[in-house]
Amino acid sequence: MPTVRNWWGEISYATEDIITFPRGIIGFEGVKQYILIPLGETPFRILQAVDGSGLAFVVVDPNSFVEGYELALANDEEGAAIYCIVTVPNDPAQMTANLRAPLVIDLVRRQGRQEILEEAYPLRFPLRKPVTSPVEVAAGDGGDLEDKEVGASA
Amino acid sequence: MLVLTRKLDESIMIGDDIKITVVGVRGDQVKLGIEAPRHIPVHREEIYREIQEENRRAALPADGANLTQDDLTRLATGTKPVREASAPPGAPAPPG
Repeated sequence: MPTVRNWWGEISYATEDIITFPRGIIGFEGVKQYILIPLGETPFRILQAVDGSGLAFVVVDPNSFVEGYELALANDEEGAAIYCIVTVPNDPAQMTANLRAPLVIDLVRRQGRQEILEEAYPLRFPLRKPVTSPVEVAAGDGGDLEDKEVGASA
Repeated sequence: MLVLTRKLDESIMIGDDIKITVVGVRGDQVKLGIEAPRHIPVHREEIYREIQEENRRAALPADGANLTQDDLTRLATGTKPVREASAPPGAPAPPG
């Protein structure tokens, strides 16, 4: 059974646990293979790269913190799991979740991608606050020429 | 960099399946229509850079120099009161 070393020590995993991000994660396009490690009975997981890079992220199920956070997923992705990357600064109480660019993970096909939402969801949504609608804290991007999607893309 | 001049409603093709059309010009703003296959991500550059930067901030150090498993457990359990803070069902209504 393969193992990956992170700050906890060696973690064993099965090759079928691997989730492939064909395009990587934005800024880390070269790192494509990860596993999801649960953190007890919490909405948090560790997304741990298993390619030897040592890259890892804390991710969270956004529905634990925000209401009405919905993505327009492609039909063949319905049922995919959504996680948001958590930024943990030196003071963990100040941690934030990136609602703007969630991870969409198809747990059956074991494939993931990072999607950038056109909606003005916050890049740094504070996790230490009451459940609220992300739209209330989102800032519109203004401008005279409003952006909108006209019809479906090909 | 290839530089092309286009008028309103004119397009350029990138490869066989990406089409960019000038759909509006007002002052210093240009409105572009983009038709691309769904698997081609299309983003404003500044948004893309912001996400890239935030991902880099979020990446955990491989050696765990400033984050232990205890920290993560506290982080995880410490967030639970966020949901428990609201009054449980059946709790007495606040006075007044």
